[in-house]
Amino acid sequence: MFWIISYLPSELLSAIGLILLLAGVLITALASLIKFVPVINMYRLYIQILGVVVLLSGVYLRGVFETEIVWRERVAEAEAKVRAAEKRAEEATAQVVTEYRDRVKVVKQQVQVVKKEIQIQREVINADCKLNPTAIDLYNQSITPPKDSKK
Amino acid sequence: MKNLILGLLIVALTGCASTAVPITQKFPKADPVMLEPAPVLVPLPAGTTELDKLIANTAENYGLYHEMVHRLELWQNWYHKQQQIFESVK
Repeated sequence: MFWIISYLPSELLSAIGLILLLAGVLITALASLIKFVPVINMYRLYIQILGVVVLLSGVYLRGVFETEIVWRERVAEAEAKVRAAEKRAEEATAQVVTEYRDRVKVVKQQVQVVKKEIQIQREVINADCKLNPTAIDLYNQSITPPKDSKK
Repeated sequence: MKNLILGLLIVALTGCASTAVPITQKFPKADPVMLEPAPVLVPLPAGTTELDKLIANTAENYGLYHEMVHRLELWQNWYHKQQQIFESVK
């Protein structure tokens, strides 16, 4: 039954709780005064019971509604915190990725500079050395990952 | 009257029973560049005899290695920042 409460606005919940509580107090007080009115004195017990029931309901619902309001405030607060954290997480990801891209750009530029320099110094580098196929095979073996390294 | 007050207190306390807030934080998404596979090192073509080709190839492969070093640093930075943000919410 209390699931309905979650659909009601906080102000309405607070008002309902307060009205029921005040009605309960009023009926209970009225039941005490009724003994001075002879015509309706015979209904005093029923009015007293009704007063107590309404008062109990008012106190109970006031507790439920107040808890619901506190609960809603906490949920809103927690949601705001989580949303802010998610936004910060996205910003942090964008920041580290930008840093990475900048660094990779520098690495690629450096490789191009070295390759250009190798091209310029080509004659000097090749002057006293000639590679043989065994050296190439061994070199290629060293850069090939072992077959069982990728699973 | 005492019974009435006691009853009211019990009823009020029952109504105030609270529950835990069911809010969860989404797992942060990694950028697609972070999930790219590692590049394969470039082999030397068979029959290469010039040393300059070997050095150029080595330079290229070292470049790929340095890119991967930065990729690892990227993951480590990302993890530490996300951890800090996650813990700041608690």
